[in-house]
Amino acid sequence: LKYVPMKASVRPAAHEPWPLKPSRSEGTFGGVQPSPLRTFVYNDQVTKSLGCAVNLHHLVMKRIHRTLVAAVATCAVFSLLATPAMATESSPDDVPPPLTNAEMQAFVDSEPGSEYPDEWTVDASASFVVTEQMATTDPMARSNPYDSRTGITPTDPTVVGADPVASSSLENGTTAAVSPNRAPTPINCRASQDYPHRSHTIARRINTHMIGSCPVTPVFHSLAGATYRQMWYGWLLQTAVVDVTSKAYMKVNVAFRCAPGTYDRYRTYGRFYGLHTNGYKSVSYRDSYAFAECR
Amino acid sequence: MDRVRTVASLLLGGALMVTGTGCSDAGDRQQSEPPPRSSSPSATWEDEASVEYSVDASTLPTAADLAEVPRLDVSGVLIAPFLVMSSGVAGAQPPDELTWPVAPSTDTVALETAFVPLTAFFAGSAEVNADGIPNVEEQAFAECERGADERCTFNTDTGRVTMRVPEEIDRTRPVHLIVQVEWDVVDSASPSSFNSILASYAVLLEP
Repeated sequence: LKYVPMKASVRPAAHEPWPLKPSRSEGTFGGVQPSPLRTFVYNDQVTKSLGCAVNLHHLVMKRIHRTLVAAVATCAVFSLLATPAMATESSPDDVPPPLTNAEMQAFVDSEPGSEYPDEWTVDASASFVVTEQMATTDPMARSNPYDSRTGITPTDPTVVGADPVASSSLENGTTAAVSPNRAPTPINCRASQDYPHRSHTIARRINTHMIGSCPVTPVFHSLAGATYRQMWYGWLLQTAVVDVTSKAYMKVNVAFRCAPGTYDRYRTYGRFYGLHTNGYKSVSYRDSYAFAECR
Repeated sequence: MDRVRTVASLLLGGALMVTGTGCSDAGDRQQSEPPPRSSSPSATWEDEASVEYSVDASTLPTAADLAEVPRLDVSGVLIAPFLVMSSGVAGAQPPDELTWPVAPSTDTVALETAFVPLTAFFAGSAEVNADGIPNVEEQAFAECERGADERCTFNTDTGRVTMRVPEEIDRTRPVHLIVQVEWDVVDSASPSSFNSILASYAVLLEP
């Protein structure tokens, strides 16, 4: 359940934090801070190359040929270093291109923590586990494992065998064999999802990151997310993303282009699914709500 | 003297090469820093905002089950949805004008369906515009998600879903109540799809 007992009429001025519920620790909700109009990526190699030019000019003028050879070689090295990382500029006025399939795939395939380091905030949420009972009650489990709609929490007392502790036996990375007389060993996967928030690398974009991490490589691993924007008549879908892999670790960015200058409340609904070699499947749902400013 | 100038020049150039500060000024340096980190974990996360829940898969409908979206029962007044949206189908637009059926005050609203919704969205406002459309900035709103909760429950014991109106909605005076119910649907024709159906209802609740 999620209640947000507040009136939107108390909306603060731009760049002021919304007086929502207190955050877990210090910090302003939504983090609406002004950013520089232009972002200039500074690069020391540029000025080092300029130093080379100063030296070369002086050596040529003075005809110090022996030193000139060494200086040319040095400058060549610095120039090579400077070339791939030249200073770049970006402006929020530039319309960001939509995410391509390749970009999304690269995002999913990349290693943890190697991309978007300034905005990748992960919830160390509870793992989820699914029992064989669920695999038999879900009508989609046998036909298509991607679209199971059964969710469960580790602490749900109504599900037999949903004991997260049992998964500790899988820490060695093995999976139990399927046996008709023995329930497959539960496998805990970790479902993490952050809040809808403004992208810090691309203008006019709202991101929600999802991470699914399993202790062993599953047969199928799927993350699906949908982000909604609150309207007077309820939630309006902004985007939906579904991705599937066979890797133990996967992540998805539920991203969409927003209207600049708006300050809206968003909700992202995420579904985490894993089908394992021992027959267990794990499904978990997450919902996250947040206000976000688009700029 | 020339040698002195040569050595000095070389030293200057070398210093530029080593430190890499020769052509930067304060403005560049300031702009070169990364943008303010406006989304620290503490600013982005809230403990209670992520909810996990479980549901019996047998309660999930297919798209065909919801081909006709059930009416909302508010104190015996049956209200048809004024807007039905599907996450897999674009194009549904909210109305330009809205009429408000009147219903006696109640704590719960009901749906004649056994399919447990994924979420229920409540938004209440005392006033609406001339066209009957509420001002979103005047709405007080609350959500219920599927799962056990004592303040807003989905009760299917009687073969229909009852939802308790959250106390955040002020009912001491007439309130224009919007209820949006969302079902996640299993689509057998496209099992890999990720669909949900959202139906919005409007009712003027008497105090």
